[in-house]
Amino acid sequence: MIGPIVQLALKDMRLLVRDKLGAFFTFAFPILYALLFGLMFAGATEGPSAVPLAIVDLDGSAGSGAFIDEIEDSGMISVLWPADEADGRRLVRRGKAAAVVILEPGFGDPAESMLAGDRITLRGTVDPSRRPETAVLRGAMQAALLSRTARLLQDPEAAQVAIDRARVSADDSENAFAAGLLAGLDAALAAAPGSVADAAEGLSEGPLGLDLEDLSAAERRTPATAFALTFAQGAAWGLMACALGSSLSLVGERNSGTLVRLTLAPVHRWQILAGKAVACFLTSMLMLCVLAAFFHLPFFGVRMSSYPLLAAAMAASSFAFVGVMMFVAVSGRTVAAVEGFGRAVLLVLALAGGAAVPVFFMPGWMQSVAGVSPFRWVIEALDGAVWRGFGPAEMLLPVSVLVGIGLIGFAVGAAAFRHGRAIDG
Amino acid sequence: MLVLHEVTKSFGRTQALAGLSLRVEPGEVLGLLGPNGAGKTTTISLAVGLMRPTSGRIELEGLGSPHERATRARIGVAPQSLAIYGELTAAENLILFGGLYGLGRKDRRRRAAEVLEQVGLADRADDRTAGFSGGMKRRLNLAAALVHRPRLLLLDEPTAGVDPQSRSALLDTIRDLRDDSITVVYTTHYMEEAERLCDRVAIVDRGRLLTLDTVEALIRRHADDTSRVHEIIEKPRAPQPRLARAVGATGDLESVFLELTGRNYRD
Repeated sequence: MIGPIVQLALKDMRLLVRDKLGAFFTFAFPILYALLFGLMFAGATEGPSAVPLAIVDLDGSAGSGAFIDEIEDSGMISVLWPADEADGRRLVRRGKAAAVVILEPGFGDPAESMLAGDRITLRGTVDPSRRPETAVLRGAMQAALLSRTARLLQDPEAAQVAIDRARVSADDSENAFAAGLLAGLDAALAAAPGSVADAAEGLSEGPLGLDLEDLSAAERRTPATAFALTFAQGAAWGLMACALGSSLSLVGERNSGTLVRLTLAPVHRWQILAGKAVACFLTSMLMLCVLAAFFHLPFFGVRMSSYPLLAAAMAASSFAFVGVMMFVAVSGRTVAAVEGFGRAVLLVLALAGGAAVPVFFMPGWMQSVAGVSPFRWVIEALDGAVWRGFGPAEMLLPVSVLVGIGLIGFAVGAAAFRHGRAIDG
Repeated sequence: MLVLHEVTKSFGRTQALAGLSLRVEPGEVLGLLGPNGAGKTTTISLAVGLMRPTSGRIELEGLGSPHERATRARIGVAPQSLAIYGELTAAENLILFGGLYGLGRKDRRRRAAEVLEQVGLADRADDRTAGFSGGMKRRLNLAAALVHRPRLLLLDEPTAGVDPQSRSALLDTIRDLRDDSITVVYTTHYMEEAERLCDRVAIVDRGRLLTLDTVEALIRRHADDTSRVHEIIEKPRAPQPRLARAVGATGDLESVFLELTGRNYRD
């Protein structure tokens, strides 16, 4: 009774092992996948990686400089130095900085302001897709402020100067800091109980606040909705499906024999490949247009920052994935082989390129590696046209890279197609 | 029409053709017979320019080089594999191929209807071919090779795996082509098809031509050999190297084929 079951089970195991591709995806691919995810989330166990923050120091004082030094020393923020606010916004728009903050003229030493009881609020602009990182920014800057204050108080001379200034600034009493604080509280409670509550509320938010405006609002464009932020990711997965489908169609034709008949017809081989490429390109463009039209519906409220640049980004993305399609199509001789290879490679490239988890979440070295993924450039180009507000100059880089990927992929695929024994009798 | 001069073709260490010479006359139906791996498909692939010979020369008299587009437009090929699109209808398949061969919009529709009628699929013109039987697909495969009115038709085992009805219909269609003065090169493993259809038969093996003649002449020559065999059996001391192979042979093309190519398996 058990015998046939065992024999059948062993037969299936043998078939699995004989199918090298199947065995690879069963045993080796999970290891590769786990490695990739481990590398992507490597930062999670070591605390957050440094958030890139652009700081425009219009004050230029020793105090503001000391504050920025404290921020840099925290290790939680990597400071970028734009020339001015517009330059800082450009960094945010390009995704190089999570936000830009402005230290206005007269900002001075924030430790002194804190001792004077002033709440410091920094204004700036934030990348809406990275708004969750503002919590890290706020925490790191609060910590920097407290660290700066502690350092100030550890130096008696500097502390005295600061307290004197704070006293003048806050019209404080001549008593010690704590006594003055208590006296002040007494007076405030007696005079206007509500003001203490207001102060307490301010205290709960910390001595330093961040007033960061979304990039799109700062540039007087339609605010980016959540759907605008995820449009590019959806498009990237759609492009992957189009490229894979076209690859399978090409290898399927090779196996079924229809490619032989096409090759026998009085048409050039490049015309056959071009036909495939055009079909893949048009399918991709159609998919992107449908996606854009869908999210343009009032419920989703996605408004493109530039329609001509969106068209350019869509065309370049589609062209890049024509190259990807050609490369994948010549990766194997059977539909199963091409499908397995295509899914494995494209999935890894999609993950590395930020199609699932934003690239900024990954470790720094992996963010650099992401540059080889077409998905990373698709997302940058489409984000740039949909909500980042790219200008033509900023769109040039991702579009050029995407066109380059398309050309290389097509050339590699066409060469392999020509030299391979694609036409078997 | 089609001439091969000492043609060789190698794939790495494997020699598919080893100096094959062959001449196909205009308007004839030539049967190209041989066991598996004999070089039949390679011969057809070379004739239509899918491959280039390692050495030797191939001429398409009156048509030009098979590598020229104008020449290809005058050659029709029905490959072994069913080279049709399952998601397209029968008519759509033929209209597509007609267009690729340069037929005008109206002409390709008219020709599609004509060849569908010719192969007995007119009533299924608007059906997707994925649902067709094997025999119907074979007939459509032949129709696709005919849609552009070729002068030279190369058929690579066009009746493989079809039922007797479809086979009979296919053979009738091919016989009608001879009446239209189309030159046909026909590869098959079915000897009775070659007997029924072909003006001449070429038997090839291991990339070489073993014999080329009319079916009647081959059988007659073989029958003479068989008579000699019977004579030898009656006189067993007489030396005769082909004795074992010829014993039991009857006077048909299959006997000729087996005598020339042997009875060993070819895989």
